[in-house]
Amino acid sequence: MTTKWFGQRVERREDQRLLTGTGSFLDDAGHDALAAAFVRSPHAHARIIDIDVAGALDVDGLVAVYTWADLDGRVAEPLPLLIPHPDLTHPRTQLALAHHEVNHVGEAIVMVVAVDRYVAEDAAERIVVDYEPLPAVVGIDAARAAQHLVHDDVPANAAGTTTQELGDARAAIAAAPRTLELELWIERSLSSPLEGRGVHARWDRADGRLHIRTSTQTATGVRAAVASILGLADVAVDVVTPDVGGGFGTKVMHPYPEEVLVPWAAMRLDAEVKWVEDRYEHFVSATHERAQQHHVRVGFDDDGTILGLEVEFFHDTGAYSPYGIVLPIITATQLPGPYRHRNYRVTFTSLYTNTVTCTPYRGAGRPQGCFVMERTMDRVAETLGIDRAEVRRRNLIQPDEFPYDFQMTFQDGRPLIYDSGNYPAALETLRDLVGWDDFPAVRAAAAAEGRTVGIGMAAYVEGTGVGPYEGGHVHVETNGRVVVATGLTSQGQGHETVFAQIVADELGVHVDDVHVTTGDTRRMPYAVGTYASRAAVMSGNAVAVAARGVREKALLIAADALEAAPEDLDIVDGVVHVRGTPSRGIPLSQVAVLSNPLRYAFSKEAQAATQFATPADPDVAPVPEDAEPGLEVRDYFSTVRSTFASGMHAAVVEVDPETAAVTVLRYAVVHDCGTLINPMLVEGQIHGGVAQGVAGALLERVAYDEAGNLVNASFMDFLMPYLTELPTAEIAHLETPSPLNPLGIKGAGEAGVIPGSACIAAAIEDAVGVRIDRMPISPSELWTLRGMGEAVPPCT
Amino acid sequence: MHLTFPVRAPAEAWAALADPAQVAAALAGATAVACAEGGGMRLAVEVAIASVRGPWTGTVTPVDEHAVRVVGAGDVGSLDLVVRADADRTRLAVDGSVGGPLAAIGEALLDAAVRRTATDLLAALGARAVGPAEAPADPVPVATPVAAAPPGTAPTATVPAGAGRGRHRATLVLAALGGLAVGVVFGRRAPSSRR
Repeated sequence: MTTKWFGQRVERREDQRLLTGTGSFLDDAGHDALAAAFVRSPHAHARIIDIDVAGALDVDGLVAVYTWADLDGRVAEPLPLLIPHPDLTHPRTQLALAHHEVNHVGEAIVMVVAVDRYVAEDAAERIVVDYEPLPAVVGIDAARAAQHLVHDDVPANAAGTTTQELGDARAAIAAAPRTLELELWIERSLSSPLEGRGVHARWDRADGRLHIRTSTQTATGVRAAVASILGLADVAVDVVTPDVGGGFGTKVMHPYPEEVLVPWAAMRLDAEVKWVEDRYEHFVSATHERAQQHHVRVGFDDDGTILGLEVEFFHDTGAYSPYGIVLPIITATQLPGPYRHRNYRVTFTSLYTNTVTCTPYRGAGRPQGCFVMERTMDRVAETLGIDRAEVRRRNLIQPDEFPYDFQMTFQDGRPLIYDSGNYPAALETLRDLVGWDDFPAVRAAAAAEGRTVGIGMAAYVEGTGVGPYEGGHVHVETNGRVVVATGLTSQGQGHETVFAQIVADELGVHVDDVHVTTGDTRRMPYAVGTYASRAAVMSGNAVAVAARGVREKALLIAADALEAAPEDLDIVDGVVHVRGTPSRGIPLSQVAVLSNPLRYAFSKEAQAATQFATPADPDVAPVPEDAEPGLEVRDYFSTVRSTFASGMHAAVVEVDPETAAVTVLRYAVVHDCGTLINPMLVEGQIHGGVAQGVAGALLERVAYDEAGNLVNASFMDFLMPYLTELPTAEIAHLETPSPLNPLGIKGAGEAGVIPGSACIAAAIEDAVGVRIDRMPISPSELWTLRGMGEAVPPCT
Repeated sequence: MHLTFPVRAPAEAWAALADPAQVAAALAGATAVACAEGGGMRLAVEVAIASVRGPWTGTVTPVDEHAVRVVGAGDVGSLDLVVRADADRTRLAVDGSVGGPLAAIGEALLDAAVRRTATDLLAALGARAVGPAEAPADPVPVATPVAAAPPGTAPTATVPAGAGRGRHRATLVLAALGGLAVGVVFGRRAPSSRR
């Protein structure tokens, strides 16, 4: 009996490399390359009057200095609008190097190339840019007020406005016995991967090929964009993603200016050029996310049933809108959560500000939507004096109501239809896991010790596995090694492990014989990217269907060799054999040899595939019609729409009576991502996501002053949690398979982060009895709120 | 390249541009400066702008009484520029094309190098002209044959100083522009490398 790998806690094969310092990251190559550095704007909004580079001439080792005036062709044009949308009426994208105007602190103006980074930085320091400062638009309030404009030709600073509606929310609210209004804010944050961005380019003049290594979440996206902008054939550009030290969304933005400029400079200088982002650059030039202001009106009955929900919110897109309005669309469409809405209306406006551009950061609009929905549920419960879990329970979509159609359009342009789930089971599991019903005793015991504790919960539904497609290439080599390629990239998720598990099962081989490559356009030129919790769903199913193709092919060839019918064959431990007759078999390695009819043998084993080796049917061509040589198949998986994972979190917090410092005592997670390929890796994703969620609730925020200076642009001031400050998530899995893909998978990558702010806000509110409507929250803010905030009646 | 910038130099500096010996002494990187037949100059310079370093040879020939054309090539790249002074010699305009490695270093940097070299050259010539007398001869051989000069082209002596008053003035301007073009076009002397 062959081993079943799918569903097993197979250890991550990446870890040996990554944990022993032998990974190969962007900066591990190109040591002899010329280095680039950038002169970036110190102003949030300014006109560029003059650029004086004369001072750089005195720096030995300087190679080149480029301004916008040097850029030619499409390199001088605004970077691509990645995701156009009919309601994105005023899209604006940046120039690779700013020309007349800068729109945020950190916008690149001059590119300096030198023999090494030190020299490049020295030269960059000596370049003097003369600015005429303009009024800066910072924050949603200023953008809405529109006293000043970020872009002169964008009225009201509005990139776009859109509305979606299910039923008639306004009428439902008007007719509801009870109504509430809430104002809810989430502040700005950023991904902060351990490894920043980086690009290394080499122009091979002899072969006419551009070779790019970039720390990205989409190798094929970068390739298509750079080839198009530089006027090169796609096939003349190779993009290889090395090991990537975290992305969390910010690296799906592409092409960043540097991803165009470094290859462009490499071609122009006919030399290898490399740029590696430093931490300050990451703060001021890698994309941010999260900042939104929401106004909520909800109508409900005396039982807590939601009758109508209307949300208007404002999204801060920063200086430009390359990602369109996808983020607020995700908030708008994921806000309903697991609840049975009949009347829901959402309107949002995406606003320009003189701050770093916003694109998805793990969670991507969902933490905000979850915060809005879950804070609303808590307020409904509070208003009615009903237990918060009970109010939620009364509103949950029931298992027999799937597929549940919201009659809205999701971020992939497809219908917002929940495919499957079991939300009541999730709630019950969470209540048991965290001891929800026993918490009054916990609270009382703590109070007796003079301690203040509270509990909160939050639920979410996450559309995962968005299309359009991914591909898989599975190839059994003549040595029996199975090589698998998929085009999306890896930032530490464990793709090499889980895709190997899938292929091993499909082909009947040992998982250690399967070797996975990701993010290399030479191996898989068609792909989309790693974002939106889609890799396992899309590439997982793609490698599965490709492996099934290989299996089918192998059985046909083996059937011929074994003189048996294909349907009588099976593959076990890498050997194709006749079912019930293990002795009659042929290893896949030999099948691979036979799959490629040879004129010339290259090894002893390969002799079997040469023309005189075996008698052949004279009327059948060596490669029959509809067949291809080689035991390999490339195939693709595409999906009609996203599959919706779900989960519920609960947090127990303690608030220091004097300092208002918040400690998360317990954090419980119930998680349903469909069938689990590898429970250990899913748990890893949850632990990481929870860490980011807790950090986003209590620590991490990007702080701009009124002039648009990013005042905490370092790890001294932007607070990330230590492991010791984080709770260990207690995890329960549910498995509701998706009907939308062969493996029944739903995505798991972002889930852990989504309910963090919502459930910790609820727990703090429960502990201290003051309204929490804005996250993240610092001890000093909580301390102030505690003194003057709106009191909340104690929960039952 | 399309560049204009202000210049200011004493008359003596402009006059000194007529003297290849002085130009050779004042121009960073000059290895040979010689008069060419027809009133122009032939030049050899070790160029050093940013990391673009190497020899360049070319000619400076009059276009009209306010402009010269500079044409030449070397490891550092090719140049074909017209350098034009305004009537009162307070502005210079440089127009033309740059090819090869020099063309890859960035327009602003090249402009800055041109501007600085012109300014430095005029300043150096001015200092030589009005400052303390410099007794020893310059180390740069004025009449040394230019390496890349076409076969059969004999090296010429320095520009004859004064053959008719009006003629002399025009020659001076041209020579000045020619000399200046040398400065305009080529960068500072190579500093010691860090690596």
